[in-house]
Amino acid sequence: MNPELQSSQWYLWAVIAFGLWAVATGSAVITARRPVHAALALVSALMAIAGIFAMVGAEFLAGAQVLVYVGGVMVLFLFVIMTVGGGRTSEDLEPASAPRFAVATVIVCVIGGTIVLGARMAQPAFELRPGPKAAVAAQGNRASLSRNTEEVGTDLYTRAALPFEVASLVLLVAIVGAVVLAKGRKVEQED
Amino acid sequence: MNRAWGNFAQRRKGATVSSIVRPGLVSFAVSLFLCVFDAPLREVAAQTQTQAPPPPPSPVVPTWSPVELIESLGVSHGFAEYVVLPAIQFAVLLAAILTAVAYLVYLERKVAAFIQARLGPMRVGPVGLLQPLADGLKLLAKEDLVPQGADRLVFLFAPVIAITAALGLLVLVPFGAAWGTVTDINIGLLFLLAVASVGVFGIVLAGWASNSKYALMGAMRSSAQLVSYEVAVGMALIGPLLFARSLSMQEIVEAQRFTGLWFVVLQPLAFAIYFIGSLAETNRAPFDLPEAESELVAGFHVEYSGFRWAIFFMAEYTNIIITSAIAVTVFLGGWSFPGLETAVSWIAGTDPSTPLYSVVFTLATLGVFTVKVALLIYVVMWIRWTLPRYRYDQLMDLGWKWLIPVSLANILITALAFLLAMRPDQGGVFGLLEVTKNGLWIGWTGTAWFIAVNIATFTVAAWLLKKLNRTSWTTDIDALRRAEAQKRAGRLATATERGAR
Repeated sequence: MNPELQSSQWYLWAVIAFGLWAVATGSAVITARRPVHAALALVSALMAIAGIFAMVGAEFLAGAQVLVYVGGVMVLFLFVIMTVGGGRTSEDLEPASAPRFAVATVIVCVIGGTIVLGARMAQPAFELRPGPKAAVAAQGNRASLSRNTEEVGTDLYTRAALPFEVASLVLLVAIVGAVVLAKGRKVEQED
Repeated sequence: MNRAWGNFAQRRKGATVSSIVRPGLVSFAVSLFLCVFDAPLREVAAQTQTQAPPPPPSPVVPTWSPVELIESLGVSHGFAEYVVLPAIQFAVLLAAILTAVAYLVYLERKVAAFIQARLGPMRVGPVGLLQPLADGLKLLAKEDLVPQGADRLVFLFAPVIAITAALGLLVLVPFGAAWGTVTDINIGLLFLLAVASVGVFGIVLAGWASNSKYALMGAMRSSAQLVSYEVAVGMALIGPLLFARSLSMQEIVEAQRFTGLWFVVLQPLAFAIYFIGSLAETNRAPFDLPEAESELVAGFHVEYSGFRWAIFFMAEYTNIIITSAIAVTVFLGGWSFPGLETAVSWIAGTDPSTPLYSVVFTLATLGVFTVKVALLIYVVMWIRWTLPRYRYDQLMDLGWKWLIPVSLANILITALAFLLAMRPDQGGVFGLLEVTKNGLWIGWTGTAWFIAVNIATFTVAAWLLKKLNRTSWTTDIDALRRAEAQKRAGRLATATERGAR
């Protein structure tokens, strides 16, 4: 990678910028007067977190975050909000005022700061890893890209195999439960 | 029909524990079998195995890049490589893609016209070639309406989300070798899928913010459809990824170039699933329910006018280009083509470090990629004007009961076949393929093995699913109506009986 860019530590500044973005949109989630606006702010916050992941060298996690949370979970959130018509009920409420937004930001910062501080104390080795190798212009050279995905895959099937399997089991139970709930109600209606 | 419904009801009542436990027992038995017979199988394979011939050398890649040209103008290396060149590339790309999008609309009208024995646009310019320009000017001059009761902010912002998600993906599409592509990141394919899924928000929010029933209906259909087919599309792409062993778009192309095989040969089933799923993801007929004209007027963009409306169409056609480009990259060899290197060496010699070689090679690969994508888009249009629209329940059935199970089975069986095909000392059995640093080496025996496995997977999966889905897989509307009437009659009879009691 180019030394000029590497020495400027722009990764660190990008992480800080993404963090501020996440805090601002996080406050917007709890101050927005309409459910749809809150959901949109949450989408933005999740994107900012994906940006942080990408900047600290966890590219696979960043991609998975956007794919699962933004593309999957939040679409379903919006789907539910639209179905129950929640977006139309708060027409008469007054818009979020500046003091309210400030209070919310302080609350979010305190909670976020506590979590970060807790993580920092719990794990002394916690620190920013050196930035990922920037995407080198395509040279057709297989060694030029970081093998982040491969590392995650190897870890998932060796070191983290048990938590991974437990998580998948929990999800499976949830899926079966959802099917049973949805189907059971339908059968009752038919009889 | 009566008997079928009886069976169905019976099966549904009994389908609690055993239907979940039985497949589990079967898979347990299979894994037990594999564990027990692993060693003997390996011995047999070791006896029959012949020494694999040495894999071919890594294919040539031009080393010269226009960065050197920019540097010679007095720009520092870092600035030239990370700012100037990408800016030029993206400007060219944007101009090319937006022109292509405008002409795709023209092409769509022409293809539709020829299929319906008409001429299509003919008045503006020769053979109607200036029609996109006229359309664009007309749309720019139109009023930008915001309906009463609409959520103004979201309404105005929705098209921006749609077009940003679509155009932002272009940087990762490997249009050509070396500097023919803007950038290449290590999670390329995952990033493409992730950002493509953000495009749904444009549609959903447009439908919700319009404060219109038709728009909302279109948006709800669209979000349900996209979320459903995303699963099948994502899982279909895992099959070829097992052979590419990387998520980077350039490396996927390089892997196919090294192997000498397009992954559609090794994974025809995954290609079929991806292609069907991508039609649904881009809201194309026969899956164009979100904008079904005869039911919803126009779907999620009913209330949009002028250029905002045009932006939705630009996003849609850009998405068609991108899904076709992903299909070409992952399944159809990307920018590579057999004999391309030889053809380039006729013009530019054989030294890959010269600027001439680099320019000729990159332009050739750009041409190959464009032709492949164009052919695939033609097929997409051809399908749109040939097939009728699916009904909503048929659409959901196809996604959840057919494509997703088949794509899951494909991943499982391909992985198993891959494992069996590896060399015994690498943990495999048959030794039909070689995992090297530059990619996979698969001989004709390996190719035959994977094709056989794919055909077997398709046959077994289709047979099994036909058994399982026998009540849902009927397109005979009359039969469905009769069955529905019978069911209602039965329900009425039990209700009367209860009432009498």
